[in-house]
Amino acid sequence: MFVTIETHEQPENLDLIDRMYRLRAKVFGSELGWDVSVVNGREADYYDRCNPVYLIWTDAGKRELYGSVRLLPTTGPTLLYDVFHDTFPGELSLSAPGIWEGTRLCVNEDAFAHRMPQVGKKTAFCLMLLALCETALKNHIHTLISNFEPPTRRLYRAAGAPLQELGSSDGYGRRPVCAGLFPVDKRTLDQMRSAIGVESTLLVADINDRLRSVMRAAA
Amino acid sequence: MEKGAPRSCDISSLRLTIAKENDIDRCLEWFCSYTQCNYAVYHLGRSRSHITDSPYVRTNYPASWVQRYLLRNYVEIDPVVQRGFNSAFPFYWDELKIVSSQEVEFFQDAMAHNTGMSGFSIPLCDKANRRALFSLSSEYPPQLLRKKLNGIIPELIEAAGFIHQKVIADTFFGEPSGVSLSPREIECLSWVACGKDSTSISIILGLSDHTVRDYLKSARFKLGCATIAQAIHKATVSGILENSSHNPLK
Repeated sequence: MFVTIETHEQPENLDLIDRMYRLRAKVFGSELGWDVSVVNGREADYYDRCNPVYLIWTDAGKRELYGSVRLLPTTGPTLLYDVFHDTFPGELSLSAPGIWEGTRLCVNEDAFAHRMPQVGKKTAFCLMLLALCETALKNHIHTLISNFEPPTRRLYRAAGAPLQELGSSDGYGRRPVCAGLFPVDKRTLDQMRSAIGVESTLLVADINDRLRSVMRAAA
Repeated sequence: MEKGAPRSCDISSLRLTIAKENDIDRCLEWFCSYTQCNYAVYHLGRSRSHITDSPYVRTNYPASWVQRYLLRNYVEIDPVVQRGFNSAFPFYWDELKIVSSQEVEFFQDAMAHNTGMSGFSIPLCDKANRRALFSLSSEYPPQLLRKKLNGIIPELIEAAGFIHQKVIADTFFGEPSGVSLSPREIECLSWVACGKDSTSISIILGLSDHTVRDYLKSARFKLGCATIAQAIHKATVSGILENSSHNPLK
Protein backbone atom coordinates (compact mmCIF):
# COMPACT_ATOMS: atom_id res chain seq x y z
CA MET A 1 0.00 0.00 0.00
CA PHE A 2 0.98 3.61 -0.49
CA VAL A 3 0.80 6.01 2.44
CA THR A 4 1.76 9.62 2.95
CA ILE A 5 3.57 10.54 6.14
CA GLU A 6 3.71 14.15 7.29
CA THR A 7 5.85 15.44 10.15
CA HIS A 8 3.06 15.07 12.71
CA GLU A 9 2.65 11.40 11.71
CA GLN A 10 6.32 10.54 12.05
CA PRO A 11 6.19 9.46 15.73
CA GLU A 12 3.99 6.46 14.86
CA ASN A 13 6.07 5.64 11.75
CA LEU A 14 9.61 5.92 13.08
CA ASP A 15 10.66 2.52 11.75
CA LEU A 16 9.49 3.26 8.20
CA ILE A 17 11.18 6.66 8.21
CA ASP A 18 14.40 5.07 9.42
CA ARG A 19 14.18 2.43 6.67
CA MET A 20 13.67 5.23 4.17
CA TYR A 21 16.82 7.07 5.32
CA ARG A 22 18.77 3.82 5.03
CA LEU A 23 17.39 3.05 1.58
CA ARG A 24 18.28 6.55 0.43
CA ALA A 25 21.84 6.12 1.74
CA LYS A 26 22.15 2.89 -0.24
CA VAL A 27 20.60 4.19 -3.46
CA PHE A 28 21.91 7.76 -3.63
CA GLY A 29 25.11 7.39 -1.62
CA SER A 30 26.44 3.93 -2.54
CA GLU A 31 24.82 3.07 -5.88
CA LEU A 32 24.49 6.42 -7.66
CA GLY A 33 27.42 8.08 -5.89
CA TRP A 34 25.62 11.36 -5.37
CA ASP A 35 27.23 13.94 -3.15
CA VAL A 36 24.89 13.30 -0.24
CA SER A 37 25.68 13.21 3.44
CA VAL A 38 25.41 9.74 4.93
CA VAL A 39 25.66 9.42 8.71
CA ASN A 40 25.34 6.04 10.45
CA GLY A 41 24.16 4.51 7.20
CA ARG A 42 21.34 7.02 6.84
CA GLU A 43 20.93 9.80 4.31
CA ALA A 44 19.03 12.86 5.53
CA ASP A 45 19.47 16.56 4.86
CA TYR A 46 18.18 20.02 5.75
CA TYR A 47 15.02 19.54 3.65
CA ASP A 48 13.98 16.56 5.75
CA ARG A 49 13.56 19.10 8.56
CA CYS A 50 11.38 21.43 6.46
CA ASN A 51 8.07 19.61 6.99
CA PRO A 52 8.23 17.37 3.92
CA VAL A 53 5.56 14.86 3.01
CA TYR A 54 6.87 11.38 2.30
CA LEU A 55 5.02 9.09 -0.04
CA ILE A 56 5.89 5.59 1.09
CA TRP A 57 5.21 2.23 -0.51
CA THR A 58 4.93 -0.35 2.25
CA ASP A 59 3.05 -3.51 3.18
CA ALA A 60 -0.17 -3.68 5.18
CA GLY A 61 1.76 -4.13 8.43
CA LYS A 62 4.11 -1.25 7.58
CA ARG A 63 7.09 -3.51 8.10
CA GLU A 64 8.65 -3.53 4.64
CA LEU A 65 9.71 -0.48 2.66
CA TYR A 66 9.30 -0.84 -1.11
CA GLY A 67 9.90 2.74 -2.14
CA SER A 68 9.76 6.37 -1.12
CA VAL A 69 9.76 9.93 -2.43
CA ARG A 70 9.94 13.28 -0.63
CA LEU A 71 7.50 16.08 -1.44
CA LEU A 72 8.01 19.76 -0.64
CA PRO A 73 5.97 22.81 -1.66
CA THR A 74 7.95 25.25 -3.82
CA THR A 75 6.66 28.14 -1.73
CA GLY A 76 9.09 26.94 0.98
CA PRO A 77 12.74 25.87 0.89
CA THR A 78 13.35 23.27 -1.82
CA LEU A 79 16.40 21.25 -2.73
CA LEU A 80 16.24 21.81 -6.49
CA TYR A 81 15.88 25.57 -6.13
CA ASP A 82 18.93 25.72 -3.89
CA VAL A 83 21.10 23.12 -5.59
CA PHE A 84 20.46 24.08 -9.19
CA HIS A 85 20.22 27.79 -8.54
CA ASP A 86 23.71 28.63 -9.79
CA THR A 87 23.46 26.46 -12.88
CA PHE A 88 19.87 27.24 -13.86
CA PRO A 89 18.78 30.48 -12.24
CA GLY A 90 15.92 30.75 -14.72
CA GLU A 91 14.56 27.29 -14.98
CA LEU A 92 14.13 26.01 -11.47
CA SER A 93 12.98 29.10 -9.66
CA LEU A 94 9.30 28.17 -9.83
CA SER A 95 7.61 29.07 -6.57
CA ALA A 96 3.84 29.00 -6.24
CA PRO A 97 1.05 27.07 -4.53
CA GLY A 98 0.23 23.94 -6.53
CA ILE A 99 3.83 23.52 -7.72
CA TRP A 100 5.75 20.99 -5.59
CA GLU A 101 9.06 19.20 -5.88
CA GLY A 102 9.52 15.47 -5.57
CA THR A 103 13.06 14.37 -4.71
CA ARG A 104 14.90 11.26 -3.47
CA LEU A 105 12.56 9.00 -5.43
CA CYS A 106 13.83 5.45 -4.98
CA VAL A 107 12.70 1.85 -4.87
CA ASN A 108 13.99 -0.97 -2.71
CA GLU A 109 15.19 -3.66 -5.11
CA ASP A 110 16.11 -6.04 -2.28
CA ALA A 111 12.61 -5.88 -0.82
CA PHE A 112 11.07 -6.66 -4.20
CA ALA A 113 13.51 -9.53 -4.74
CA HIS A 114 12.50 -11.07 -1.40
CA ARG A 115 8.79 -10.38 -1.28
CA MET A 116 7.55 -9.56 -4.76
CA PRO A 117 10.06 -11.07 -7.17
CA GLN A 118 7.56 -10.64 -10.00
CA VAL A 119 7.93 -6.86 -9.77
CA GLY A 120 10.94 -5.61 -11.68
CA LYS A 121 12.72 -2.33 -11.03
CA LYS A 122 11.10 -0.65 -14.01
CA THR A 123 7.56 -1.61 -12.96
CA ALA A 124 8.27 -0.61 -9.37
CA PHE A 125 9.53 2.80 -10.48
CA CYS A 126 6.54 3.34 -12.77
CA LEU A 127 4.12 2.46 -9.98
CA MET A 128 5.90 4.89 -7.63
CA LEU A 129 5.45 7.61 -10.25
CA LEU A 130 1.79 6.75 -10.68
CA ALA A 131 1.21 6.83 -6.92
CA LEU A 132 3.03 10.17 -6.86
CA CYS A 133 0.71 11.49 -9.56
CA GLU A 134 -2.36 10.32 -7.63
CA THR A 135 -1.08 11.84 -4.39
CA ALA A 136 -0.46 15.14 -6.15
CA LEU A 137 -3.92 15.23 -7.74
CA LYS A 138 -5.56 14.46 -4.43
CA ASN A 139 -3.69 17.30 -2.74
CA HIS A 140 -4.22 20.13 -5.23
CA ILE A 141 -0.75 19.87 -6.77
CA HIS A 142 -0.81 20.63 -10.51
CA THR A 143 2.92 20.48 -11.25
CA LEU A 144 5.72 18.26 -9.94
CA ILE A 145 9.36 19.23 -10.33
CA SER A 146 11.87 16.43 -10.02
CA ASN A 147 15.51 15.50 -10.51
CA PHE A 148 16.75 12.30 -12.07
CA GLU A 149 19.73 10.61 -13.69
CA PRO A 150 19.72 10.66 -17.50
CA PRO A 151 18.95 6.91 -17.80
CA THR A 152 15.82 7.46 -15.70
CA ARG A 153 14.28 9.42 -18.59
CA ARG A 154 13.12 6.18 -20.16
CA LEU A 155 11.34 5.21 -16.95
CA TYR A 156 9.32 8.44 -16.99
CA ARG A 157 8.52 7.66 -20.60
CA ALA A 158 7.52 4.09 -19.76
CA ALA A 159 5.27 5.44 -17.00
CA GLY A 160 3.57 7.79 -19.49
CA ALA A 161 4.58 10.87 -17.49
CA PRO A 162 4.80 13.88 -19.85
CA LEU A 163 8.18 15.10 -18.66
CA GLN A 164 9.39 18.58 -19.60
CA GLU A 165 13.14 18.69 -19.15
CA LEU A 166 14.43 21.94 -17.73
CA GLY A 167 18.16 21.31 -17.63
CA SER A 168 20.97 19.18 -16.32
CA SER A 169 23.87 19.81 -14.03
CA ASP A 170 27.34 18.35 -13.69
CA GLY A 171 29.34 18.18 -10.52
CA TYR A 172 26.54 16.75 -8.42
CA GLY A 173 27.73 13.18 -8.47
CA ARG A 174 29.39 10.80 -10.87
CA ARG A 175 26.98 11.60 -13.68
CA PRO A 176 24.99 14.68 -14.64
CA VAL A 177 21.67 15.11 -12.88
CA CYS A 178 18.68 16.35 -14.85
CA ALA A 179 15.74 18.34 -13.66
CA GLY A 180 12.31 18.42 -15.17
CA LEU A 181 8.68 18.98 -14.43
CA PHE A 182 5.53 17.16 -15.24
CA PRO A 183 1.99 18.45 -15.23
CA VAL A 184 -0.44 16.63 -12.99
CA ASP A 185 -4.03 16.49 -14.13
CA LYS A 186 -6.68 13.98 -15.07
CA ARG A 187 -5.15 13.63 -18.52
CA THR A 188 -1.71 12.79 -17.11
CA LEU A 189 -3.30 10.28 -14.76
CA ASP A 190 -5.20 8.53 -17.57
CA GLN A 191 -2.10 8.54 -19.77
CA MET A 192 0.02 7.02 -17.00
CA ARG A 193 -2.57 4.42 -16.08
CA SER A 194 -2.87 3.23 -19.64
CA ALA A 195 0.93 3.23 -20.16
CA ILE A 196 1.46 1.15 -17.02
CA GLY A 197 -1.67 -0.93 -17.39
CA VAL A 198 -3.34 0.02 -14.14
CA GLU A 199 -7.05 0.70 -14.20
CA SER A 200 -7.88 2.17 -10.82
CA THR A 201 -6.37 3.99 -7.89
CA LEU A 202 -3.22 2.75 -6.15
CA LEU A 203 -3.73 4.86 -3.09
CA VAL A 204 -6.23 2.72 -1.29
CA ALA A 205 -6.36 -0.84 -0.04
CA ASP A 206 -4.18 -3.70 -1.03
CA ILE A 207 -2.58 -3.41 -4.42
CA ASN A 208 -1.51 -7.01 -4.83
CA ASP A 209 -4.50 -7.80 -7.03
CA ARG A 210 -3.69 -4.85 -9.23
CA LEU A 211 -0.04 -5.85 -9.38
CA ARG A 212 -1.09 -9.15 -10.88
CA SER A 213 -2.99 -7.35 -13.61
CA VAL A 214 0.02 -5.09 -14.14
CA MET A 215 2.21 -8.15 -14.53
CA ARG A 216 -0.21 -9.61 -17.07
CA ALA A 217 -0.17 -6.35 -19.00
CA ALA A 218 3.62 -6.21 -18.89
CA ALA A 219 4.03 -9.83 -19.99
CA MET B 1 -18.58 41.01 10.05
CA GLU B 2 -17.67 44.10 8.12
CA LYS B 3 -20.59 46.38 7.32
CA GLY B 4 -21.66 46.06 3.74
CA ALA B 5 -19.58 42.98 3.07
CA PRO B 6 -21.61 40.56 0.99
CA ARG B 7 -22.55 37.29 2.67
CA SER B 8 -21.50 35.29 -0.32
CA CYS B 9 -19.33 36.28 -3.26
CA ASP B 10 -18.06 34.64 -6.39
CA ILE B 11 -15.11 32.67 -5.06
CA SER B 12 -12.98 33.34 -8.14
CA SER B 13 -12.64 36.94 -7.01
CA LEU B 14 -11.39 36.06 -3.50
CA ARG B 15 -7.81 36.16 -4.79
CA LEU B 16 -8.41 39.53 -6.44
CA THR B 17 -9.89 40.97 -3.27
CA ILE B 18 -7.15 39.66 -0.99
CA ALA B 19 -4.37 40.71 -3.40
CA LYS B 20 -5.46 44.34 -3.33
CA GLU B 21 -6.50 44.53 0.34
CA ASN B 22 -3.56 45.63 2.45
CA ASP B 23 -5.25 45.58 5.85
CA ILE B 24 -4.78 42.11 7.35
CA ASP B 25 -7.88 42.29 9.55
CA ARG B 26 -10.00 43.21 6.56
CA CYS B 27 -8.45 40.32 4.63
CA LEU B 28 -9.71 37.98 7.36
CA GLU B 29 -13.20 39.50 7.11
CA TRP B 30 -13.18 39.06 3.35
CA PHE B 31 -12.19 35.43 3.76
CA CYS B 32 -15.17 34.89 6.07
CA SER B 33 -17.54 36.64 3.67
CA TYR B 34 -16.45 34.63 0.68
CA THR B 35 -16.44 31.26 2.40
CA GLN B 36 -19.38 31.95 4.72
CA CYS B 37 -17.19 30.90 7.63
CA ASN B 38 -17.45 32.58 11.01
CA TYR B 39 -13.85 33.16 11.95
CA ALA B 40 -10.40 33.32 10.39
CA VAL B 41 -6.96 33.17 12.03
CA TYR B 42 -3.51 33.89 10.64
CA HIS B 43 -0.76 32.60 12.93
CA LEU B 44 2.91 33.18 12.15
CA GLY B 45 5.32 30.95 14.08
CA ARG B 46 8.38 32.89 15.19
CA SER B 47 10.71 30.01 14.60
CA ARG B 48 10.30 26.40 13.76
CA SER B 49 11.51 25.10 17.08
CA HIS B 50 9.43 27.56 19.09
CA ILE B 51 6.10 27.88 17.33
CA THR B 52 4.54 29.10 20.52
CA ASP B 53 7.21 31.64 21.40
CA SER B 54 5.42 35.01 21.21
CA PRO B 55 3.75 34.31 17.90
CA TYR B 56 2.24 36.90 15.59
CA VAL B 57 -1.51 36.23 15.42
CA ARG B 58 -4.36 38.06 13.70
CA THR B 59 -7.92 36.89 14.10
CA ASN B 60 -11.53 38.01 14.21
CA TYR B 61 -12.43 35.58 16.98
CA PRO B 62 -14.37 37.27 19.79
CA ALA B 63 -12.06 39.08 22.21
CA SER B 64 -13.36 36.96 25.11
CA TRP B 65 -12.15 33.76 23.42
CA VAL B 66 -8.79 35.26 22.43
CA GLN B 67 -8.22 36.40 26.03
CA ARG B 68 -9.14 33.01 27.42
CA TYR B 69 -6.92 31.28 24.84
CA LEU B 70 -3.95 33.41 25.87
CA LEU B 71 -4.69 33.25 29.60
CA ARG B 72 -4.87 29.47 29.58
CA ASN B 73 -1.94 29.18 27.20
CA TYR B 74 -4.06 27.02 24.91
CA VAL B 75 -1.51 27.35 22.13
CA GLU B 76 0.43 24.58 23.90
CA ILE B 77 -2.57 22.25 23.70
CA ASP B 78 -4.51 23.34 20.59
CA PRO B 79 -4.32 20.29 18.25
CA VAL B 80 -4.89 22.54 15.21
CA VAL B 81 -1.70 24.46 15.98
CA GLN B 82 0.26 21.34 16.92
CA ARG B 83 -0.61 19.66 13.64
CA GLY B 84 -0.59 22.80 11.49
CA PHE B 85 3.03 23.63 12.20
CA ASN B 86 4.03 20.01 11.58
CA SER B 87 2.39 19.37 8.26
CA ALA B 88 2.32 20.60 4.69
CA PHE B 89 -1.07 19.56 3.32
CA PRO B 90 -4.20 21.51 4.31
CA PHE B 91 -6.55 19.64 6.66
CA TYR B 92 -10.05 19.69 8.08
CA TRP B 93 -10.31 19.71 11.83
CA ASP B 94 -12.47 16.57 11.93
CA GLU B 95 -9.34 14.67 10.79
CA LEU B 96 -7.54 15.58 14.01
CA LYS B 97 -6.95 12.78 16.47
CA ILE B 98 -8.15 14.11 19.79
CA VAL B 99 -6.64 11.89 22.45
CA SER B 100 -5.72 13.63 25.68
CA SER B 101 -8.25 14.90 28.18
CA GLN B 102 -6.61 18.33 27.87
CA GLU B 103 -7.46 18.38 24.16
CA VAL B 104 -11.03 17.29 24.81
CA GLU B 105 -11.45 20.03 27.42
CA PHE B 106 -9.94 22.56 25.05
CA PHE B 107 -12.48 21.77 22.34
CA GLN B 108 -15.34 21.78 24.85
CA ASP B 109 -14.24 25.20 26.01
CA ALA B 110 -13.96 26.41 22.42
CA MET B 111 -17.48 25.14 21.66
CA ALA B 112 -18.76 26.88 24.78
CA HIS B 113 -17.40 30.12 23.30
CA ASN B 114 -19.26 29.53 20.04
CA THR B 115 -16.10 29.28 17.97
CA GLY B 116 -17.75 26.88 15.57
CA MET B 117 -18.16 23.16 15.05
CA SER B 118 -15.78 22.70 12.18
CA GLY B 119 -12.64 24.14 10.68
CA PHE B 120 -10.09 24.02 7.90
CA SER B 121 -6.39 24.90 8.14
CA ILE B 122 -3.72 25.70 5.57
CA PRO B 123 -0.02 25.40 6.52
CA LEU B 124 2.03 28.17 4.86
CA CYS B 125 5.75 28.60 4.36
CA ASP B 126 8.19 30.78 2.46
CA LYS B 127 11.70 30.52 1.06
CA ALA B 128 13.13 31.76 4.38
CA ASN B 129 11.40 28.76 6.02
CA ARG B 130 9.05 30.97 8.01
CA ARG B 131 6.02 28.90 8.93
CA ALA B 132 2.47 30.12 9.36
CA LEU B 133 -0.98 28.65 9.70
CA PHE B 134 -4.16 30.06 8.25
CA SER B 135 -7.43 28.67 9.60
CA LEU B 136 -11.14 29.13 9.02
CA SER B 137 -13.74 27.99 11.49
CA SER B 138 -17.42 27.57 10.93
CA GLU B 139 -20.68 26.78 12.69
CA TYR B 140 -21.49 24.30 9.90
CA PRO B 141 -21.25 20.62 10.73
CA PRO B 142 -17.94 19.17 9.42
CA GLN B 143 -19.53 17.45 6.41
CA LEU B 144 -21.21 20.66 5.27
CA LEU B 145 -17.98 22.62 5.60
CA ARG B 146 -16.24 20.05 3.40
CA LYS B 147 -19.00 20.42 0.84
CA LYS B 148 -18.58 24.20 0.85
CA LEU B 149 -14.78 24.27 0.67
CA ASN B 150 -13.72 21.17 -1.27
CA GLY B 151 -14.09 22.75 -4.69
CA ILE B 152 -12.29 25.98 -3.82
CA ILE B 153 -9.26 24.77 -1.87
CA PRO B 154 -6.62 25.90 -4.44
CA GLU B 155 -8.18 29.37 -4.39
CA LEU B 156 -8.06 29.42 -0.56
CA ILE B 157 -4.44 28.24 -0.49
CA GLU B 158 -3.35 30.97 -2.86
CA ALA B 159 -5.27 33.73 -1.10
CA ALA B 160 -3.87 32.58 2.27
CA GLY B 161 -0.40 32.73 0.68
CA PHE B 162 -1.03 36.38 -0.20
CA ILE B 163 -1.86 37.13 3.43
CA HIS B 164 1.43 35.54 4.49
CA GLN B 165 3.31 37.68 1.93
CA LYS B 166 1.58 40.82 3.20
CA VAL B 167 2.37 40.07 6.82
CA ILE B 168 5.99 39.37 6.05
CA ALA B 169 6.44 42.33 3.71
CA ASP B 170 4.30 45.10 5.19
CA THR B 171 3.57 44.44 8.81
CA PHE B 172 6.37 42.42 10.18
CA PHE B 173 9.57 43.11 8.38
CA GLY B 174 9.06 46.61 7.03
CA GLU B 175 9.17 47.33 3.34
CA PRO B 176 9.21 44.46 0.85
CA SER B 177 12.78 43.56 0.05
CA GLY B 178 12.11 43.46 -3.65
CA VAL B 179 10.75 40.53 -5.60
CA SER B 180 13.25 38.63 -7.68
CA LEU B 181 11.88 37.06 -10.82
CA SER B 182 13.90 34.53 -12.76
CA PRO B 183 14.95 35.12 -16.38
CA ARG B 184 12.34 32.61 -17.59
CA GLU B 185 9.58 34.28 -15.61
CA ILE B 186 10.56 37.70 -16.98
CA GLU B 187 10.67 36.33 -20.52
CA CYS B 188 7.20 34.81 -20.22
CA LEU B 189 5.69 37.94 -18.65
CA SER B 190 7.27 40.11 -21.35
CA TRP B 191 5.77 38.00 -24.11
CA VAL B 192 2.32 38.23 -22.51
CA ALA B 193 2.82 42.00 -22.35
CA CYS B 194 3.36 41.85 -26.13
CA GLY B 195 0.02 40.15 -26.53
CA LYS B 196 1.19 36.54 -26.88
CA ASP B 197 -0.82 33.75 -25.29
CA SER B 198 0.80 30.83 -23.48
CA THR B 199 0.58 28.57 -26.54
CA SER B 200 2.47 31.06 -28.73
CA ILE B 201 5.04 31.61 -25.97
CA SER B 202 5.52 27.86 -25.63
CA ILE B 203 6.39 27.70 -29.35
CA ILE B 204 8.75 30.69 -29.13
CA LEU B 205 10.59 29.32 -26.09
CA GLY B 206 10.40 25.65 -27.01
CA LEU B 207 8.62 24.70 -23.79
CA SER B 208 5.29 23.01 -23.16
CA ASP B 209 2.19 25.12 -22.76
CA HIS B 210 1.84 23.88 -19.19
CA THR B 211 5.42 24.88 -18.34
CA VAL B 212 4.85 28.41 -19.65
CA ARG B 213 1.72 28.70 -17.53
CA ASP B 214 3.75 27.52 -14.52
CA TYR B 215 6.36 30.27 -15.08
CA LEU B 216 3.57 32.83 -15.41
CA LYS B 217 1.84 31.61 -12.28
CA SER B 218 5.10 31.63 -10.35
CA ALA B 219 5.85 35.21 -11.48
CA ARG B 220 2.32 36.28 -10.60
CA PHE B 221 2.46 34.67 -7.15
CA LYS B 222 5.89 36.13 -6.35
CA LEU B 223 4.53 39.57 -7.22
CA GLY B 224 1.49 38.95 -4.99
CA CYS B 225 -0.91 39.47 -7.89
CA ALA B 226 -4.21 37.75 -8.61
CA THR B 227 -4.05 38.09 -12.39
CA ILE B 228 -1.33 38.11 -15.06
CA ALA B 229 -2.44 41.59 -16.12
CA GLN B 230 -1.81 42.89 -12.59
CA ALA B 231 1.53 41.09 -12.50
CA ILE B 232 2.64 42.77 -15.75
CA HIS B 233 1.54 46.15 -14.42
CA LYS B 234 3.38 45.67 -11.15
CA ALA B 235 6.53 44.33 -12.83
CA THR B 236 6.48 47.24 -15.28
CA VAL B 237 5.90 49.94 -12.67
CA SER B 238 8.61 48.54 -10.42
CA GLY B 239 11.03 48.40 -13.36
CA ILE B 240 11.50 44.62 -13.28
CA LEU B 241 10.44 44.22 -16.91
CA GLU B 242 11.91 47.44 -18.27
CA ASN B 243 15.36 47.00 -16.80
CA SER B 244 15.81 43.33 -17.36
CA SER B 245 18.16 41.97 -19.97
CA HIS B 246 15.80 38.98 -20.15
CA ASN B 247 13.07 41.08 -21.66
CA PRO B 248 13.05 39.67 -25.22
CA LEU B 249 12.15 43.04 -26.70
CA LYS B 250 15.26 44.75 -25.43
